[in-house]
Amino acid sequence: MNSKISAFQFYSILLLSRILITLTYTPKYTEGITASDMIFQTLFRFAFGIIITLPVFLLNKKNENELQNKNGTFPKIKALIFSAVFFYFSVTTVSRLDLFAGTVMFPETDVKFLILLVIVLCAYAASLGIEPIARSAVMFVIPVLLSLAFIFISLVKKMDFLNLTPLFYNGVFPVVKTSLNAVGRTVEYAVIAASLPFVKGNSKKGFFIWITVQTAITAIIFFFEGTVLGEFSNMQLFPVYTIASMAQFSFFRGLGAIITGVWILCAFLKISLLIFLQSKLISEAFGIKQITVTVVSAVLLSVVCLFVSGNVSRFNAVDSSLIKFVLIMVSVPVLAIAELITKRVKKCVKQ
Amino acid sequence: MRKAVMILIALICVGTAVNRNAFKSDISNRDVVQGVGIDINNDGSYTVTLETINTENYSNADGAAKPVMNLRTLNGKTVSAAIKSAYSIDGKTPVLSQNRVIVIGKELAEKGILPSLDFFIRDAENYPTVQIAAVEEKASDFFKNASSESTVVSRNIEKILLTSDDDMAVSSITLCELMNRSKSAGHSFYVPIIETFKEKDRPEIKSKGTVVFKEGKYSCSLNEEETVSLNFLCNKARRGSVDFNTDSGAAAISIIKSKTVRSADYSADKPVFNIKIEIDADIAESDTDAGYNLSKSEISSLKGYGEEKVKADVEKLIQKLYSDKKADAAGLSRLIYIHYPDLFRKNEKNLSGIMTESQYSVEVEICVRRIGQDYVS
Amino acid sequence: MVINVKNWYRKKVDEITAPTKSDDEKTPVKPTVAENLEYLKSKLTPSFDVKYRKSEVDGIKFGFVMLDGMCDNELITEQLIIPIMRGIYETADGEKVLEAAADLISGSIDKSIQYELNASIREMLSGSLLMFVEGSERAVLFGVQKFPKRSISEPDSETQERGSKEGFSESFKDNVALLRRKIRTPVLKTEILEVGATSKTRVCIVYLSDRVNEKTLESVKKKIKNASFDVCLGSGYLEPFLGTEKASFFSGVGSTERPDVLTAKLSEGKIGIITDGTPYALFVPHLFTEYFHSLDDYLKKPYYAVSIRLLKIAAFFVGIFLPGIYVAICTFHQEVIPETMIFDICLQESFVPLPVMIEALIMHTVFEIVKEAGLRMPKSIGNAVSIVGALVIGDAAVSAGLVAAPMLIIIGLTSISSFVIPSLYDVSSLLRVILIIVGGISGFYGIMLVFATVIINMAAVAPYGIPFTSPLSPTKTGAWRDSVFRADWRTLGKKRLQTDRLDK
Repeated sequence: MNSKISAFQFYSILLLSRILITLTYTPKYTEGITASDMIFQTLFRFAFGIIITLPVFLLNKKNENELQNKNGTFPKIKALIFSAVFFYFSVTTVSRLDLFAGTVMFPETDVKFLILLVIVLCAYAASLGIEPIARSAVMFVIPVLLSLAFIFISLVKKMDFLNLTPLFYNGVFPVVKTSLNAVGRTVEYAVIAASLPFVKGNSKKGFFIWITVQTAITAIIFFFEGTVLGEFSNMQLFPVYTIASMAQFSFFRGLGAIITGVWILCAFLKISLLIFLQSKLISEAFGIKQITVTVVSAVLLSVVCLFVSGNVSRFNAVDSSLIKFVLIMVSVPVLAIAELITKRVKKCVKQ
Repeated sequence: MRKAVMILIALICVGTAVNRNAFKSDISNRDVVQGVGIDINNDGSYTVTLETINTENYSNADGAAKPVMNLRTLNGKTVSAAIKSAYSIDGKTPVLSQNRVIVIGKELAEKGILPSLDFFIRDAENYPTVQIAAVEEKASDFFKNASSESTVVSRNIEKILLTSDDDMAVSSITLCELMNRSKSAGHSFYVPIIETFKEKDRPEIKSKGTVVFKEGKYSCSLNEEETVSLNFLCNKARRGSVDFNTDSGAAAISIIKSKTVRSADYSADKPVFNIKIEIDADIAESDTDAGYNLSKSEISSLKGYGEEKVKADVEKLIQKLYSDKKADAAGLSRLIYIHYPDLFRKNEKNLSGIMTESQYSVEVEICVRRIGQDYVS
Repeated sequence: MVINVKNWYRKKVDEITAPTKSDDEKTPVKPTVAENLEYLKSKLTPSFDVKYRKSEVDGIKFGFVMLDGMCDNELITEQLIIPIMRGIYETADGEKVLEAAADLISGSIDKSIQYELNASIREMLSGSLLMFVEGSERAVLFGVQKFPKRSISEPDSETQERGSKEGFSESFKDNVALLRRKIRTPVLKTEILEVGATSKTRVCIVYLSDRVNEKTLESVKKKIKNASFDVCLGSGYLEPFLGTEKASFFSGVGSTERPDVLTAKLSEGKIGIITDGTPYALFVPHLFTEYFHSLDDYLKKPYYAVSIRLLKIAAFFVGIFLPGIYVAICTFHQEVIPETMIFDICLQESFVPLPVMIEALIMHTVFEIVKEAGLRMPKSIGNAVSIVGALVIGDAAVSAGLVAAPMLIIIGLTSISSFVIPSLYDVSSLLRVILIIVGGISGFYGIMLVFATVIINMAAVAPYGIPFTSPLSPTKTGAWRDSVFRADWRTLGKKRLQTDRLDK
């Protein structure tokens, strides 16, 4: 990546991408933990997030990130791993959007064309480069946060604190497992690992602010979800959408439309970013034209997503928490630690 | 390459433009449902009554105004089958996102209402904020009796149920709240009862108390006074009035604000529930002659009578619900779940038994803020 | 297959077009008057308005060429011909005679020397008098233009409440003079370029040398020089060459009819381009937030300016989104309709035979037809258009059941809103149609997707390194004092914006 973006722009994209995951979360990921535990597990998530990204920042501090080096086999391997991770997460993001559209928005309409529309437009956005994506993210952040704030203020009257539950009612382990699941669903850590060398400004400070803000927003969303819906949230595929549709402001009801808009904006940016990163990494590592890789990624993405579309069992097979966890662990801390160790050994051998 | 992508986008758009489904969901092709009534038949099938907006351009032979709403009575093995069969009547698919109320018929209430509500939870068009009400007859008969040329029955029902903010004698519950209560500790919930009556040949609807469900089935009915007590118990009483008899006659206090603080404790492994009702009130009507200026002691006496009345009513209701019917309609067992999870876990299977053996302490405190157009003598 | 289609299309275009090529042949001035006049006749005949004259003074031959109708005949006779014919020339050397004759002419008349005949012809065709002297390989051109032109008047498209009533006219010299009156310092620079292979239209680049970005300036000049077209009849011809190369709704080039607005842009380090023959000046780089600015904002109190800007932003979004959102709501998201309106909308739309999306498209098209007719129609029958338009679009359509009343209100409100910012009318009109179609096909889902795509497309526009979305993104909080909000002049006046610092 020749062009650099500022830390503020970079973490704005990641914030929106992370908000998307929270908005689209499904109770199947929660390992049966209760409402209060859902709020509490965000703290575990915060800690885990910092732990797994430490090696990445250490690597970057010493300017030893192999992605900056275009020669050699290791950068190619690294580029392939990251591209595979980003491709997988693009598939799950698009499939989740398809699930949402097919279940909630257009239950009686075939939504395959919507998948194609999303992928084509995201591929177009990816072809424009990282800077437009970053600039757009900065413009979207404030309206998205304001929309969420508006929805939650409208929900204050519907809150019932009796819907909260005792902490660790089913034990601590399910809470830890849920937060590890959540870490596994956070592709942003892999994006940080892949993109950090190309971000200008204080990326460490930016990361800390980002992880704090996104943890706070997640906790607030789960808090409202717990107090407004209570046990009912376990009966909904997308509980956050449900609470938004319950919000009412004056004669405006059904504010789920706002969540739909936020969801699509965030998904658009996320998928564009992932397609861009795949194409950029592959093109720089293997010398293929970036636009070719973008088109090939988009076509492959379309094929896979159309295959998954409209079939709940295929979606469940693709959207596996275990696969996501393994991919994130391999691409973020394991790869960074392996790289650090290799370089240390090489240094010692040289000396 | 970019031109190829743009041509592809254009083709997708053209392809979708000819997608017939796009025009099928147009508002002119849909039946906007405002209310749903559900009855169960002897063979286990359902009769669903849909109140939809009438968009047909006709009038009666004698030139009378056309009805604003249509009533469609549909049958099906399941609720969803019944509702979907509306399509075969006028070629329009029902849209449930504007549905305001679900009315439960008497037989369905007795047999259990939870299976019939599954459709409304699964279907994404339905809102969890839809009001639930019960009637003491068939829901289809209720809708027929309550409707007229210019009446929107569902809207009227919703309006009445939403007055529970201002009238403690009316209870209300939404689908979300009902499901929460049915799934959480106690597995009991309540649903307001409504009935229709004629006022100068025009049908009107009013609230008639509350019905309590246990495990999804009918448990008991509460009259309006008991509904007031239930609202106090559930911390849902906001405004209303309480009238009572004193030694000198009848009096009434108007409640400006009410708050119920509920807490749970336990002693000897048995829960102790403390219910403290704090009321800010007006003296609406005293038991004295008209225009009589009340003294401090008289105000205090009226306050005392009011507190006794409320306390007695609430205690009577607790006796009825927890000792007689063993139905935790007020959701008090949730307090044990939240504050004493170990105790709850130990007694989860015998919760109704534990609730019967629990102690209930009710305290009422009325603060007289105003005494109307009067001054203290 | 795509390549075959491309080649086929190229062939079809080649069949009916010819390449634009400029006559860049350089022919030096000949030493004899007869040869020069012969050359000019070969280039210009038949042209009845080109006048040739040969004269002789003391055996020295003079040749004059002018364009009748473009020159001030009285000035030529009194101030040029008579002094030259009465001049006393001490030598027969053509070059010395040429210089002596030029010296006889009053200093108030522009003089320029040319060595090349085609350049001389171009200047003569701009209204100068061309003079040859026998024995000289130079030609002299005297600026004696007097052609019919429009006087300075109030601009039609940018009316201001409190601003000046002067607008640019078709004469670029007058336009530059208007700018000189506003900026009376030597930092205002004006450079002339020519565009158009045949028209050779003069384009004047104006900038303030103490604040302009040199790289941007070079880039502008290069783009203008590389602009290839046959005739340039307006500044709009130049816009695509100056703007972004990416396909976008926005070009990154602004235009104005007002000298005071252009002055303000120049003071921020921007570059102005004034094209001869059009009253619209261009300026680069242009930012998105500037569409919502007007001169009146700076002449009134800041709180009022902010409210008007916010109103304009709201009107812009209403003009784009309202019909699409209404179509989306009626087609897919009926739950959003408030209960007080659901009855009316349901009933009204049920009477209309068309789906909501088609209804919206037809109403939009009808409105565009009426608007276009009102624009082109002679003023004398303009009233008829408004009456017919009101009848067609108004009550009659609703009564006949062709359109629902809510749709009429939506389209009417949308159309009025889109006129709040006339410079964005074309963009908002196109986006409106796209969003109506997308809303009717895929509801909010599609509307938000298209909105996000447009935003990203807009964010990609940065023709001179300054992102079009600046100062919103990249966030330059220092510039927010005059973007959506406007600080008081006591704050704004202390420091001026330097546009080239808004880059990434």
